[in-house]
Amino acid sequence: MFPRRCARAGLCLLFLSLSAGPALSAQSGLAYLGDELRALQADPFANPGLLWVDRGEALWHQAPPGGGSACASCHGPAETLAPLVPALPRWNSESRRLEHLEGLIRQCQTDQQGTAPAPYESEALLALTARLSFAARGRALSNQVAPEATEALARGKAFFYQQRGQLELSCADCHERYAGARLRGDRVSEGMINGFPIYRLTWQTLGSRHRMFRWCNEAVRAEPYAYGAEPYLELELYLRQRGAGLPVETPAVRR
Amino acid sequence: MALKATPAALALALAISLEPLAVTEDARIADGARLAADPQAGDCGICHHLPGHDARDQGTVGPPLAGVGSRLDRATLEALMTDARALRPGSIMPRYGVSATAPRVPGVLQGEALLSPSERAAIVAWLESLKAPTQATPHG
Ligand code: HEC
Ligand code: HEC
Repeated sequence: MFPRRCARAGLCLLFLSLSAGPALSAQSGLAYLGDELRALQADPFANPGLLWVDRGEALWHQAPPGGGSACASCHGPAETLAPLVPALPRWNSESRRLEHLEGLIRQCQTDQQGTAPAPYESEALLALTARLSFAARGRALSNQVAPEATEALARGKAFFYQQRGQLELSCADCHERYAGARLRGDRVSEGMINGFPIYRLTWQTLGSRHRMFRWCNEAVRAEPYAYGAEPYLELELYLRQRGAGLPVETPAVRR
Repeated sequence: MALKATPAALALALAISLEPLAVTEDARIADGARLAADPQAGDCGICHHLPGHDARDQGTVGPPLAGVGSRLDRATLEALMTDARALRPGSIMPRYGVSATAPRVPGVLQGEALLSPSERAAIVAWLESLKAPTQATPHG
């Protein structure tokens, strides 16, 4: 089963931690970071993602052009939505679809505020998403899945294990089997979503979960899906459940 | 200036025409080394430590490739570079010589192998040249 050199306990542990398959309990990407980025994420002045949190706070209180109401005038402080965040994506029994944070914000913009929805990855949508997720900091990702969403969850899981693209690699190939190993300069994490939106040095900006999915798809030369597409919502649901218990740590800093 | 067929010039021409045989293999190995490292080609460094490169920028998913030419023979290397998953079932090493059958391959890449036969031959020549012990690398 294990390499013979595993007779030495230290190496055995190393071997186990590098290739033990499904983690006994999920670990945040934070656990796979080097000291410098860890410190940057923890620094309440230097974490670059906090810029978006501040912008989000301003937008939260700002009435949209055209006479609609500010988010705060209906919801009060952003903190009132904190319990919602770790339970997303969730099943909407009216639309009979999954909805995630970005989608809910955009829906409020059209239905309640009478404005055009902020495009995915726009500064405004990232800022509002960051502000609300920041309000939920420390809260554990929920493992609750509505019975109606059982099939969506199963499809999300199948997505995670499906090899795809010209390199024929699945999410699990990298984030389960080789979590802890290095892909070029990057230490591969478990692909958890509790830090999003994340400030990624590679991007020099904040990015959403779906941007990360697209990036990882493109890394294996697979056709990515559109932002907000059903397969990504299902994947997001699965990853929320896979990482249940992890604290929200927005805005995370990553390589 | 007119060229004259002096004995020296003839000797030079002869030397040049004989040279390619020797140069070809070296050039092929150099080509293979370049293709293996090139992110637009083999991009092997994403998973392996390629000798001569800073280990901090190289992957640890697969074994380091230093000395691989002493561990594996040419036929094995060729098989690995054609379809690593046929040779090592369950491996995640991509199949460089056959076209992917997995879903979501972008249209322009469909039916295309990751590397052409000549690219794979160059990489095999390079792998074969990696005899143990290799020269020490700065951070290896
Ligand atoms: C070829 C390897 C590879 C594959 C396949 C892959 N990823 Fe990733 N992924 C990475 C690397 C490298 C990073 C950046 C380092 C890190 O945070 O793990 C990353 C980061 C992530 C992150 C950010 C984690 C954090 O803590 O911020 C998520 C989420 C993620 N991947 C999800 C996925 C999903 C979902 C799939 C499948 C659709 C997938 N990945 C497929 C290599 C891969
Ligand atoms: C996505 C990861 C990945 C990529 C990319 C990759 N390999 Fe590998 N390679 C592996 C793994 C993992 C192994 C170990 C075999 C196994 O999985 O059982 C391996 C094994 C090998 C071996 C055998 C080494 C030994 O000592 O047995 C050679 C040679 C090799 N790879 C060459 C290459 C070359 C050349 C390239 C690029 C053209 C490449 N690999 C790209 C993951 C990869």
